Amino acid sequence: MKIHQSAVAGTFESSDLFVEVEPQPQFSLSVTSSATQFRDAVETQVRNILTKLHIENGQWRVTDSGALDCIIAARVETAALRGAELSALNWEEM
Amino acid sequence: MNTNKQDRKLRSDLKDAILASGLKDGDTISFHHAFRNGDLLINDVMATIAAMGFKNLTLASSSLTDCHAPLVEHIKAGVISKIYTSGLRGHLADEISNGLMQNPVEIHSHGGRVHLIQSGELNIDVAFLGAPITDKFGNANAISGNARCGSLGYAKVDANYAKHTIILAEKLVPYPNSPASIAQDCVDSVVLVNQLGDPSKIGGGATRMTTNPRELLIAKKAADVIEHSGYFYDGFSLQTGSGGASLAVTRFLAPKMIKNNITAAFGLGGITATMVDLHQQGLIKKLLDVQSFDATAADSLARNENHIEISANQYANPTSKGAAVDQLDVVILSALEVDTEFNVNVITGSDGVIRGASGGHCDAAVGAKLTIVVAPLVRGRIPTLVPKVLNLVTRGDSIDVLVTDHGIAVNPARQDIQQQLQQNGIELMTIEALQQRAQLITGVPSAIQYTDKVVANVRYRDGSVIDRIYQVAH
Amino acid sequence: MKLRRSMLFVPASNAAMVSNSFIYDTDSIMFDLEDSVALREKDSARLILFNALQHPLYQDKEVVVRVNSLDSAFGVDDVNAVVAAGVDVIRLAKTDSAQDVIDMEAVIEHAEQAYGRPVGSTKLLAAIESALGITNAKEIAFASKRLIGIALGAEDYVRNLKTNRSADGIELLFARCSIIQAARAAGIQCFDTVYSDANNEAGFIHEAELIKQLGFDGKSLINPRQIDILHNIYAPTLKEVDHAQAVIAAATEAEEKGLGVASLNGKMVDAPIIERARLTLERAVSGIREEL
Repeated sequence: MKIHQSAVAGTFESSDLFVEVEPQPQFSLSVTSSATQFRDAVETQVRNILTKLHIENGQWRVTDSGALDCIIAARVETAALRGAELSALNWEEM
Repeated sequence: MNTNKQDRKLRSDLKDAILASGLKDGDTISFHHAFRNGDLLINDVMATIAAMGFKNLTLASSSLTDCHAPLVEHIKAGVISKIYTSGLRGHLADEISNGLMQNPVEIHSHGGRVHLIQSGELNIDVAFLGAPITDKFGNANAISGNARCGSLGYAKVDANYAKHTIILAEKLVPYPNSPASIAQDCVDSVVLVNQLGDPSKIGGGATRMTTNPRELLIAKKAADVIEHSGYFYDGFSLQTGSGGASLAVTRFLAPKMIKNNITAAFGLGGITATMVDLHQQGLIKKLLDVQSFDATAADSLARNENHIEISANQYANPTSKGAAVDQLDVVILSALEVDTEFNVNVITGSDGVIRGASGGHCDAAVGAKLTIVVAPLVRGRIPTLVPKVLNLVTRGDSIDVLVTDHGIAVNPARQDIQQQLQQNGIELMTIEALQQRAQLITGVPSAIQYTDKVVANVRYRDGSVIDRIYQVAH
Repeated sequence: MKLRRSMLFVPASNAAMVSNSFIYDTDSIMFDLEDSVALREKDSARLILFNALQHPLYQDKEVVVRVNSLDSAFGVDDVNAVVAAGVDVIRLAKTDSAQDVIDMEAVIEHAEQAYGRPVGSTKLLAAIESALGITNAKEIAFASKRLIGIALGAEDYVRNLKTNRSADGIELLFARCSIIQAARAAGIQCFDTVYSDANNEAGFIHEAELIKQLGFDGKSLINPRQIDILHNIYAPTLKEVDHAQAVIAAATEAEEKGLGVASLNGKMVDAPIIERARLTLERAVSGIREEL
């Protein structure tokens, strides 16, 4: 999956995650979290999801407001699909 | 004949009163926190003291909160070098957690503060006590006036023990003012100020009952626990904390009291509109009030003869000749963190930063026959129930039941309560199973990194240091 | 048949609500991908559900998902995602005819095959929200073996009738009765519409008592505060529970003795009475009715 266009997903509300991605040839990721002791866990999960989606480009910025794993996955996947201009994931592979 | 004698305590302004007190560098000054987040007095007094050039003072307020952020500047300027308080919040708490002070803050409970005063560790030189109404001789109360805050339970202790007591009031009434929460024989100076507190922030009208469905769910479970605990009998006594779920327990308990023909002998602690309502319905016979949490409670204290003002010494001091917590049957308390040993943290957040208050937590927990802690199992992604609390305020051996939105756990030391609840069909979980459930939702957090600097000592109610709070590393 | 008094309605686009609605003691949770989700959030809400349904704490809850219409750009993707994630029940909105159910069934079956779920494991709940649908209620109720029940969606229905909702609900009486008749004829469950003013407790109680008396199995809820109130209305009284236990005891004893017919206090205990006693005991699990 390749990021062609800028995209956002999620909100800044409590228990949610906000993801922004800008197209660029290289990959970069920054993560901040209101739940500081989970910041590293959020970053690890975001990297795992992007690897699984075979994403190797884009400038990714993630702002976490204490989201659970399932919300993090959903928001990152949404931003990836929007950025790649795809409509759905291959559910079987997820 | 000396005609000036009658007016001898009146001071022209705050500065005049401070000069008359004989305050000097290195002294200990005290305040009460009955104006809560609407307090204007501490900041005003400290600004005046700073302008007069005093240094190196110990500030002993019964508690401090968000509105006391300006103290940061006085600490930086060396005006304040040591703090005793029950709680710290907001910018002041952040700065102190960040290592602002050379000397650690002493965090005490409401009962423990009186103990520290009586044991001589906390030796108050000058007490600055806000009370909206006074006479010229210092008979003062807080049951009327703009900044009325009801009970002056914490101030009473300071007035008794300070070497010099100043009453700061908004209004002077003819001698003798009654009832006198603070009595003339404890008062050295009386001074009028424009405004002691912001009424909307002191407590507003009536503390609103929560409509948050999760808090209501927890409250309902807690009420079911009380009903079947063995401590729900005619003449029982009750204290509720001021948190949403804790306060809402009464909403579910009241119909059970009516149905079972049970009335409570007394309600204790910080008193709110909810407790007043039960009192006026005849469901709680007497209210013992150390602090009134809203204007409804303050007005009730003025009006209802069985709504009784008590001092912090009568409320919670473990070495008092009589603390009401020792007569208490049931208390419902909140928590920032609880661990699998039932230890409770109400002082630091999950990031290790100070943002709470010890309050009467450990006093009531030790005193009551049935101590229930209510809390959501998880807040956002932050687990409330953890393997080990970051900081200890109330020891697990005084906590009997933990009620969360995901389930109820009873302290294994209380087999009697466990059996009572199980026989009555209340579903229980082990505290370990509940903690695992929290972990399933949140995952495991990274450990907090600290420096080796102690920013606060947590003092147990007997004065012992029960834990140290360290500076968080960045 | 599973007890389904309460179905708590949760917008799938709301991260905070999806993150904690499993704490509530509701018989089913109904996530919505349809009208409560803005068009530009359809993709994200679908992904939230795909991930949340696999969360361990949603495993022991019955989960219903209201998907978008198959005519829309989202319907098929919705079905694929929630079937892949193992949803229990799909709620078909705005069902006008038996063909709507058959069409949905085909999409579900395709998804079950594609994502390795046992064919037939995904159940269906058809919501009827129009005069045409009410007219076809019987055919809809018989349209698929996957149907666990049919439900009334009142907001669109009253608009279609050119009226609005009233406190006593007279405008809904025909639709409610039609749905109950059709559901009972087909041997499936039936569910009433939401009561949308969460702060009007008296109004909610009034409506819940009405629909319980009409015969509905349960009702959709928009606020967790309504759960206990509804369960209490469905809860039997102590007297009813005692009687039900006596009925079951008499029936069991008769069966053990090999008697064809049981009796209790001189009255015959036949199959319908036993069945009702079982339902009473089931509804008593969450408590005996508290008269306030």
